[in-house]
Amino acid sequence: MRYIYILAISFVLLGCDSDYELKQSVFIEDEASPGLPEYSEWGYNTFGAYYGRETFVSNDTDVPLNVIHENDVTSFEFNGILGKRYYNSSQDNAFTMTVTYQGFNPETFEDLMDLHDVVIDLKAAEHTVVFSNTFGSYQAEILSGQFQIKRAQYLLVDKQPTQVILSGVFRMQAVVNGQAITISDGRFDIGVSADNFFNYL
Amino acid sequence: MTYRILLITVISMFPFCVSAQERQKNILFEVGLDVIHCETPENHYIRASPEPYGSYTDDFSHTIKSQMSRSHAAVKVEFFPKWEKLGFASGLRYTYLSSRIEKDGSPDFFYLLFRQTGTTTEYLRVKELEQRSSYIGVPLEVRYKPFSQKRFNMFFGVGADLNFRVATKNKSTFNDPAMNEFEHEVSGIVGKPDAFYVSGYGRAGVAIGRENPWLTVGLTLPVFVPDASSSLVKPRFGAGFNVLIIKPI
Repeated sequence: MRYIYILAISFVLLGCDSDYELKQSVFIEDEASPGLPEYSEWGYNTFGAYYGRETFVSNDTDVPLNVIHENDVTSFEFNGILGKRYYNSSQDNAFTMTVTYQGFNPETFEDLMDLHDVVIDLKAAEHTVVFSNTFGSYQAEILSGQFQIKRAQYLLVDKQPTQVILSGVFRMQAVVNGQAITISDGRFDIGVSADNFFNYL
Repeated sequence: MTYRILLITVISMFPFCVSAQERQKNILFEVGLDVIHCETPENHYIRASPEPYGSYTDDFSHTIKSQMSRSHAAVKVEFFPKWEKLGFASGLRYTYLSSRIEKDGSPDFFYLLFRQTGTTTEYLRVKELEQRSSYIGVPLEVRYKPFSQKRFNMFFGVGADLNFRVATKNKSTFNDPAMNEFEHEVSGIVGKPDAFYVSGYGRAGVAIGRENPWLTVGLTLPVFVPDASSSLVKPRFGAGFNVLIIKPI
């Protein structure tokens, strides 16, 4: 009887992970922008941008995007590495960009569909951008910039709701920790589900 | 369609219209099988899969296996002009061509982009896509027999076949059998090969029979099949074998 229970639990767990590939990253390098992933709308779980002359990109170990809602603010937390992309994220080059969007209040990840074709003016005072590395967090003084969700897709797999795919572009000019920097050619294509959507009630 | 039938009829009658000065004529009954090495093109409807070890990739197709095989049966007339070592053959040929893609590794399915309606996108989990096509065509072949008067004689040949597609069927194997109702729509997404293609090959083998060989067994290498023969895979080159029964006319 004990073995039947173990088998049953195993089958349940295996069934819950049937879309494991949808949570992994598919990094197809953009030939026109070396080091960055191609812009796509497949939910490939990648992002990238030029941070000055370095690349800020997603990797294969960190969750590329967490969407966090708390107190009338929704934060898009992009976790990646600054510099060369390796399979295993090194603590030395771990880098995070957090874009906060004031006044947007999703209750579930499905509500992120309201972001379809939304452009966030990063220069507006109510929205912020914070960069973090192992040495600390630095709020950027935005001189100009945009964060655009070009497409939000409600994804069904075999007719079952699975995730919301957010795909878009971003760029900005800012002063970060006293240094002027341009973040250019930013792009992202990431699936958001209950696993990476957080709602603090 | 009328144009194709007329073209096939005219070309296949060619051997019968040759001058009576030729030394010998044979009727050939042929069957053969080719296996073609192919690649999976970057289909716009298949989601790329992640690399097993997370390295860079600009070619998702390594996770999708592709296969193609081609079997045929033909009736040909072979004639030898004044120089008896060189023979020309043509006739009618039926070809059955099968191409297939499936996922390599675990999980054993890939995601197919099924529908996009407004802001809703649908994927289907697909284990395998297969395309089967039938062709009627005309083979054109030249064979050279350097030796004769032996029981086993080598021969070498080159040829081409002109193929006109008469039927195509696309088959999908879904991870969830409940999705079988969408097979027809998926077939429309996969599409059909071109109506016509030409392939070429080289051949070498053994003819059995001292004065009038009655059987040949040949190795077909290489076989070149164009992209026009499949909307599912990109054929490159292949190899095969064939068996011919020979009857003098």
